[in-house]
Parts: sequence; C-alpha cells; structure tokens
Amino acid sequence: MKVNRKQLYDKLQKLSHGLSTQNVIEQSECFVFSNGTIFTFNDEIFCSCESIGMGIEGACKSSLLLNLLGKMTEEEVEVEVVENALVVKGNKKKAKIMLEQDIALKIQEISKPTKWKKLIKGFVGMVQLASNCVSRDESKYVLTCVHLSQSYIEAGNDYQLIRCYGDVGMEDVLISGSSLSKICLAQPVEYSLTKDWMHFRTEEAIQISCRMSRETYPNIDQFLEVRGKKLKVPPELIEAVERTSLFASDQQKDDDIIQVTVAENGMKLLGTNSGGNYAEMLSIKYEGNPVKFLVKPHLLKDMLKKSQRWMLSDKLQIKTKEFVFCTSISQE
Amino acid sequence: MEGFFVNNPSVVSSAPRCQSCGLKHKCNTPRMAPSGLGKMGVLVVGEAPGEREDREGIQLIGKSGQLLRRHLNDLGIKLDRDCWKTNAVNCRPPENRTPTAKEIGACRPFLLKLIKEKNPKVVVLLGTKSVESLLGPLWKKDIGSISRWVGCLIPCREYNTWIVPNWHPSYLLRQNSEVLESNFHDNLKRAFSIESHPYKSNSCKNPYTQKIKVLKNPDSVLTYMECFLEANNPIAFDFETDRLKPDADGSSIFSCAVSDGECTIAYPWVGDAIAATSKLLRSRVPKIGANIKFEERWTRKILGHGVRNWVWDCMVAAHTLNNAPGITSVKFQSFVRFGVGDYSSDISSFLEAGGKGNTANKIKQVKLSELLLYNGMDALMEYKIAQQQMEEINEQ
Repeated sequence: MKVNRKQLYDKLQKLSHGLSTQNVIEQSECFVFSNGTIFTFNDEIFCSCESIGMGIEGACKSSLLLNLLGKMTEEEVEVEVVENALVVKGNKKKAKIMLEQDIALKIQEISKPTKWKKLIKGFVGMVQLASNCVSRDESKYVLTCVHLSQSYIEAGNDYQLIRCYGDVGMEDVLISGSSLSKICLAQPVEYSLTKDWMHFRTEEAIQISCRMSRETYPNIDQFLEVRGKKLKVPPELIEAVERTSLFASDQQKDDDIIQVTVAENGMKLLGTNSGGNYAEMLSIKYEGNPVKFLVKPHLLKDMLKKSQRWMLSDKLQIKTKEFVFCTSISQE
Repeated sequence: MEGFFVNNPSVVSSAPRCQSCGLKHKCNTPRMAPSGLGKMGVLVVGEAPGEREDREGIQLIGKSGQLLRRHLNDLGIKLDRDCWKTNAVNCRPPENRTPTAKEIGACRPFLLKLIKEKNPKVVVLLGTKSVESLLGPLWKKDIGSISRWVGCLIPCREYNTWIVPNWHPSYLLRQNSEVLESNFHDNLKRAFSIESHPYKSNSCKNPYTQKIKVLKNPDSVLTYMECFLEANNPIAFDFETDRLKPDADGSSIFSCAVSDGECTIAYPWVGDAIAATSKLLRSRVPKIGANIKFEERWTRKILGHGVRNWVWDCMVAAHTLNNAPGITSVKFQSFVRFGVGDYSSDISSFLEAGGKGNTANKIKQVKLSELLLYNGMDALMEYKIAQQQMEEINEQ
C-alpha cells in the first residue's frame, strides 16, 4: 500500500525512544508491526502508535527502515510484505528489509492505560530542568530518578538539588531521570498511571510508557533552605557562561561542567577541556571568602534567564517563584 | 565539596530494584533464593541462572555447575553441603544472555544482604559479572577483564571476608584448556584452605590514612628527613606533578611523600623541603618506588641529580609476579593486597592530563590537604606492597 513517507518517518522517529542500540531483549532494536500498531520496547521505555493502516505483521531492524525513509525524497512510498521481507518502493528504487514474522518482543508486563489526564502547562520544561540534576551513580539509584509530586518536581545528586514548583497533581511518582528526559523530547500532553508504569501520550497519539520505581525519595527540604549573603550577578553572566561552555570539561563522567569562583575581586568562570581552556572575569560586589562550585553551563544559563539573585552561605541557592536550586560549594 | 547525601544511607540502594530490572517477569524461578548449607563458611557466587537452574530453581546444576562440582569433589568438598550458593543476578536473563550492568546493580542488594546475614569467611566469585557485582562499588573503576582478578586473595575490609575471584566454569568449558582448568582448581584449593576471616572484627575501611602526617609547613619536614637519613632504612617516595613528563617549560612538582612503613609524611614542594628531599634522594638510604623512571626523570630535571640506591620498583615486581594486564598500578595492588578501596577517585580526574601528549593536568585545582593525603597514601602503599612482593619473590 502507498503511505506518506514523511508521515511514516516522523512516526517511526518518535518511536525510537523505545529502541535499544544493543539487543537488550529480543527484537528490542526493531520496529514491531502488530495488530494495526507499531511499537518499540527496550525494557525501559515502551512506545507505540497506530500503523497508518499498513497491515503488516512482523519485526524489522529499526536502523535500516528509519535511515532509508530519511534518505528517500518521494512524497509517497509503497510498503508491502513479500515473503520474509518488508519491501519499500520509491521512484526507480526498491529496498528489501528482512522481516521477522514471529514477534518475540514481550510487552505483556506493560499494563494498559485507561484514564488519561492532561499534563500541566510547563511540565516538559520543569522535567527538563530537574533531569539536569539527577545523579548517574547507580549505587544511589533513588538519586538517578526524578520525583514527581502534587505540587513540585524535584531531583538531585550529591552536589546539586532542584525543586520546580507547579500544580503537578501526582502522588509521589519516581521515574528514572534519563527515561523521563527522553520522553519529554516527544512533547507529551497527557499522562496516565497504572500498576508499576507511567504512560504519556503526545498530540499525535503516540504512547510512551516507562517503569516507575517504588523506592522512597529522600526529604530534601533541609538542603533547600539557605540563609546567607545575597549576591546580585551581572546580566552579562549569561553570555559569559555561553562562551565558557565551549570549553566545558569533557573529562568528567557526568555531563559537561564549568567552574564558577566567587571572590571579592570578581566572579571567575573557568572551562577546561582536552582542546584548551577559557577563563572570564566579571565584576561583582561580594565581601567574603572566595568560594567555587561546578555546574552544567546550560542549566546555569536556563536559571540565569529567570533569576540573577543568588544566596550564599555554606552552599549556593538560586530561587524564583518557579524553582529553587541549591549546590554545594567549596572554599577556594 | 561536601556532598548533600554523604552521611545519608537512605539514598544508597539497600533494597533490590526488581521493578526497574524486569527480569522477574521473564523467567521460571524469579528471584532464586540462595541455597546450600555453608558448613565451611564459603559463599560461591555465579553470574546468573542458566536454563536448567531456572527450570529447577537451584544454582549451579547445569553443565558449568557440574564442572565446578567435579573440581570441588576432588578437593573433598560438597558444594551443597559446604557452601552457600547464589548469583550476581537471581533471575535468568532471556536466551542466557550476559546480565546487563543495570540488572547486576538492581540485584546487588540481595548479594550484600546475604553476605551480611551469613558472614562468610570466603566469597568465591565466578566470572566477571559476579566480580562486577561485589567489587564494583568498592573498586569504583572499570572492573576490566576477569584475568586481572583471578589469582587474587582480597582481604575485603567492608565485609571482613576473603574474596577469591575465579574463572567462570562456562568459560573453561568453552576454552577447553588444561592450563586454565588447573589454575581454576588451584584457586579453589586456596579459597577452601582459608581458615578464618581476614580481620578480627569489622575493621576501619582505610586504617592507613590515619598514619599519614600532612605537613603544610616546610620547616617541620626537615626533622623527619633527618630521622630517615639517620635510620638508613628503606623508604618509598612519590611525587605529584603537574604533568607526566618534566620536559615542558614550567613543569613542576607540587608535592612529595616519603614513607618508611612506620612514618609517612606528605608535604608541598616549597621552601627548605626541596633541599631536604634532594639530600635524602642523594643519600644511600635504599629507595622504593612505583614506576621509578617517573621519579628518576623528575628528580634529574628539577633537582639536577639522579636518585641514589634504588632497590625496588613495585610496578616491575607486580608484573614479574603476575603478567596479567591491568594489575601493576599502586591502586590495584593496594586493593587486592590490603583491601584498601578507592582513595583516589575524588582527585584522579584532576591528575589526568588535560589533553593528548604531555599536557598539564588540573592539580592546581585540588585542595592541598586532599592532595597531600593522596600523595601520602601512594608512598605508604608503595612501601607496604614492596615488602609483600619482596617476601613473595624470596619464597619463589
């Protein structure tokens, strides 16, 4: 049958969050076509959508199909199953992609969502801000998760914590930060909670589900309270952070980071990576011992757009009506 | 920087994370319970249940298990009677695939809980994945190949048990090598001949840091240097520098540490401490190092003379005793010989070169007290490793 190539390509691309690059479980690197739906599942994230009436049953290697559709130029392509292959035809072009008829990808454990609720406006932004702070240390698994609750979304690692305020309306949901940040790339608009799973749905009716954790998130209230010296940072700091981010460290196992030092003679940004280093000084009014901290530059930039007032004591706090961020600091 | 959750055990996963793993939904015997009577106080840890184990709900009964049992029978040991048995991952991964790091992490709390409950005097780890499960959080770096761990008898301070990594029997079946089987057998023999726990009680995780004297004032270094010279006993010494090789302009030594096993000092490379170090290195006091060409080269460049009377290089000796790859570093030797876990991860990224070749590291950004403690640990461990190596080489 003939299908709109771009429409199919876009759908498959949105399902790719559920793919694994390795064969984590059988057919986890495949697009699976079954009962009028296409789905992917990598044991962590499940994605599905309607198969725009292609009537195909089987599983094919995702990378081949996705790359092929991306490189074709036709508005419409013809897709059909011939023997054990998915045949994709364009103008004077024909590709045969092996199609496994037996569907081995087991998705029975994923409970089906029934009631969908609207996600609050700004949910994606809150999650993106929070998931920047999750830990990657699996031995502290709970810190690798984002905590969603009635009135806030929070996350943190050993050195930084963030709580984003909003009418989230969820009862203590704990989800892997890496899964949630991938899901938010698809811009979900609705959610549903079932046993052990949280489901999201986009405007194009693509369903993305991920496992919930049953662990208890630690109470971080005490760490978010900071009483100390107020510090007004200069507006040109945003651009300085952008410049320093070009030299953000690529040596750390975590993401790129830069170092910020606050001292009486000014604020110093320092970025060092294998290609070189960059330092920039900015004038500030500050009296006290010099202190320094490490931060992801894009996170700092996002926060600076909302607030240029910091609070310094034995830690540093950036607080607005929308969020409160805290990072531990060390003496210079 | 002080972490928010450093003293908060609630964030360290102590409960298994079956929910995020999901393997329990895909096997016949989910969360296979440990088995065996453990009469000899030995815990044997496999990688994951195979098809037969999953079907019958008992560890190590498939082909690999049979091979292990045969070797144990030759030593007069009955696996089910004398040992406790468990796996790094307690649910069978589909198609017998290797368990993922996430699955191992999710299942690790079962293993740690079992060790706390049974208090085994020896833990035999079969294969890389069981090594990853138990030693991963203690070693904190890449576990690497099993070949670097096999043959070690690790006096683990965290659990007060001897840890004996060994080949996985399935690897032996695939390799069909008499040499490997003989090595496997010898390692089992060593494990089962151990009579008691390595320590009298659950000991301090790193008792050695308390022995290091951090001397920020260069004047106080001089007194200790005179003592080292007068005693004329072997000393281990170690430099911390701003790059690998001293040839670039501006290359500098940041700190130095000296240890005679009883007394270990670490000090910044400033003032009179430099001349005192030079005097010690030119003296006949026997010198121990690890990768001594590094210290020799820096001494020649910065002090203008060589090191007199080198007697031992821990790195060369480690390779002489065991030619497996990835075992010669002071950190690895400290871990497997003295159970001293990671003492460098806080600052190691600052000591790595910033780029390719002989580029500068970020040693200037390390807090001086942390750098000196690390430097002192290196010198002390070099001394202790050298003493053990000397005994082993003399025995051979």
